[in-house]
Amino acid sequence: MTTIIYIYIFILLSMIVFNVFCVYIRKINDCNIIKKQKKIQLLIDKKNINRLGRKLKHTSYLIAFSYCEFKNDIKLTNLFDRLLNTYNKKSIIEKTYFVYVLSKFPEIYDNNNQIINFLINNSYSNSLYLSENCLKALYKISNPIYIIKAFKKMNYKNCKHHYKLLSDGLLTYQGDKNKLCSLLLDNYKNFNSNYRLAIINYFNRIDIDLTKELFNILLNEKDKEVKIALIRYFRNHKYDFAKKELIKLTKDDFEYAVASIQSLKYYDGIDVIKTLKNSLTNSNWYIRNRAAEVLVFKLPKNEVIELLKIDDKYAKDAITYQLGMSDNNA
Amino acid sequence: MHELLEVVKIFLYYVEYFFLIYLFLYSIYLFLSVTIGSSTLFTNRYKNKMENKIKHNYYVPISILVPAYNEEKTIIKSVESLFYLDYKLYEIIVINDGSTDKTLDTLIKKFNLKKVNYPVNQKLKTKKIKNIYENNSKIRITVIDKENGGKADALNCGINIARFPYFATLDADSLLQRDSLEMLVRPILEDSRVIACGGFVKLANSVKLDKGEIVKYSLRNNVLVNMQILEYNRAFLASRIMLDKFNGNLIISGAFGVFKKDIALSVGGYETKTVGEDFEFVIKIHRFCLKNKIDYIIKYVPEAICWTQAPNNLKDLIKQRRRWYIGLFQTMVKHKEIAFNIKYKWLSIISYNYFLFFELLAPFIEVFGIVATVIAIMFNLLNLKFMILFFLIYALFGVILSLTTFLAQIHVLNLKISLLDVIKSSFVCAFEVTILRFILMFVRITSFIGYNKKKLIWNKFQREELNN
Repeated sequence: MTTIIYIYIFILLSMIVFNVFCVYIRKINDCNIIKKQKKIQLLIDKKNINRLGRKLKHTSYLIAFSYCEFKNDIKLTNLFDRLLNTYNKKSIIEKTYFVYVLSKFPEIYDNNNQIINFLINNSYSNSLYLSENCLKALYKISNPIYIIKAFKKMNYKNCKHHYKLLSDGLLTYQGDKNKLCSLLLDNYKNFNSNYRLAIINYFNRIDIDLTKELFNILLNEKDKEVKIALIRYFRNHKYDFAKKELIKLTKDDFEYAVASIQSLKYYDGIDVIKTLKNSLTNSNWYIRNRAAEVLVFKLPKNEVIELLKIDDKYAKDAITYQLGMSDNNA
Repeated sequence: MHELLEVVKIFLYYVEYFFLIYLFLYSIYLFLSVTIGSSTLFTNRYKNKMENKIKHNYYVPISILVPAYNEEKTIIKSVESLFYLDYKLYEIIVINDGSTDKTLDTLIKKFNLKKVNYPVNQKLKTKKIKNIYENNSKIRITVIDKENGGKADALNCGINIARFPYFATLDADSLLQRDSLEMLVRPILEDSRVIACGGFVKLANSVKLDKGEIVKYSLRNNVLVNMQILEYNRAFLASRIMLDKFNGNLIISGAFGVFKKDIALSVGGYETKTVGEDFEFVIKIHRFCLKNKIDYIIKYVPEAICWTQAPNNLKDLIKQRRRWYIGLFQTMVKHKEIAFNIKYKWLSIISYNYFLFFELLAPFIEVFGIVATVIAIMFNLLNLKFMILFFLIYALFGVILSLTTFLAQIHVLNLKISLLDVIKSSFVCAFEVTILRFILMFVRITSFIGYNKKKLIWNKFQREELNN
């Protein structure tokens, strides 16, 4: 027993030494990075690509490289082509860093098939960080076809990338958005619900009119989360043909109903008001309160006050609160 | 007499083996947790440096619940610390659980709150809400004034009011760093199976924060506070990291954690009939998910740091520890089905058994050890030299374990640890192992005296003003 404890003590002492060593190394590294950055900067300024390529095979120099300044006339394409093989064989952590650095230079890989294939093939990596960095790099390419290719591979490999990361990532794409939307729509049915949800959320946050296409999708969508996202789409993108369906959905599952009531906020007509008034007395708390919120938004104050005569305590409570909030906001 | 001596010898023989196995298992647990903890922290830092992280502008929206009972001294600074968070979308909900001091008035005055008639959706049954106040600022602050019902009841009330699909809990005497919430929420985007995350709770007594940034960090000249600093480090930078490796964390500290609201509602919220509501809540979530075959992860995030206050005198410390022990007992008994149940795999084999043998039963086993030692002395069977040597080795082991976790902080905190603090911490460890440990053992054993009276009151000790 005592021997074991002695062994433990020895290992723990080693860890203390290791931690102290870490602090020391970190200090040294900070100084070294500055030195290495100067060296790399010199090579960049001299456009010495061969030497640069040799240096950047070491991760520490790659870190230094990411802090350097670049002039437009230096051709880094060949440099990254060479580094691709080196970093492909390194650990996932280093590979992820390489992609992070690479993504800072979209102009050099925009038409480089080798690099683009590398990014697509790593987009479905088991490492979320590598996958995300690859996608970030692909969002910077002008041709959106590569994003679709990556998405398709990820979908095929059942890559569990959070839909929010995907939709927020798509929003960073600065190329031909119409083409991207068209490609996403063409492939929509092939994606699983996670990717479909990401795509709809992306559509919801851009200013391209896809109401007609998405209305057809809404009518046929079976997945609950995706359908709710589609209903929300018609809140931000008014489409009169969708009104009837939204009204219909207020009588469906409560989550559809809540989303539909919120979407009806921007639709006019007696039928809308009638639906909202009916929803006001719904036994579901969420439906009732959302209906009150939308009614207070849509109706003039005197009509809202009229609503308080309703013989339903819960509906009255909901309207009173929304009235108070609207007064506070005013 | 000879027969009695033989009986005692046999008794002590088995006692010796029992303690050998017990201490062997305990030292393995401690050793593994410290080594795994330190190496994980080192790897995490390396990954972070190498951009192996999800850096996002918008994460999921969060409702931050701050239950408060007589917190007039700390509540404003605690809420204000939330304004400096590097997080885009969140609301703050303070639940005033029938405070008898000026907690409510202070909040209304400071944040210009107005009474609203919010129709509460009573998904979880709670004590009566007297009033709800809100303001119109960019970050919405809601204050619920309710009848006193305990911390669990206050949290349930907050869950009822929370507008967002995730809620975070924060003690009213705690402070967050700028990046704390972001760090805590990151795992949710990294893996959709994550339903709850717990942060690293550190003691605010040792830090000075300015707008969510650490300005100064050093050990205090109070041995009790310093002892707790080391103790928290051991728990949060070692044990929890190891348990996290197999989704086996049974606690997310009530001081700082984030949960998926629908799961919290599915398990019926916090249990109001226990004082260890945070512990019980997490075990309940584990059991619910396993029973319903939900693929889930409860994550511990050492990089998400929350600074909270600790008792700075022995009387308050004893009060706190009694409460913790009672909470542990209540929860362990309530969830006794997990014990030795293969259905719960590592959760039962390691997590539950650790709490059972090395936390709940530990004081009794220690007393048993002392009794055995006394018997051995009485019959002149004690190898005093060996006993002292063994005790010293074990004390040294404890000191080195604590020092390792104390130094491991450098991987999660951007701070310098002075040589003086390292020396101080060594002395504190020695004090803890040789003296304080026995005091706390006595406290735990006597916890049940007056148990019924204590079981549902708030965990209160004398607060200091927060250093931010």
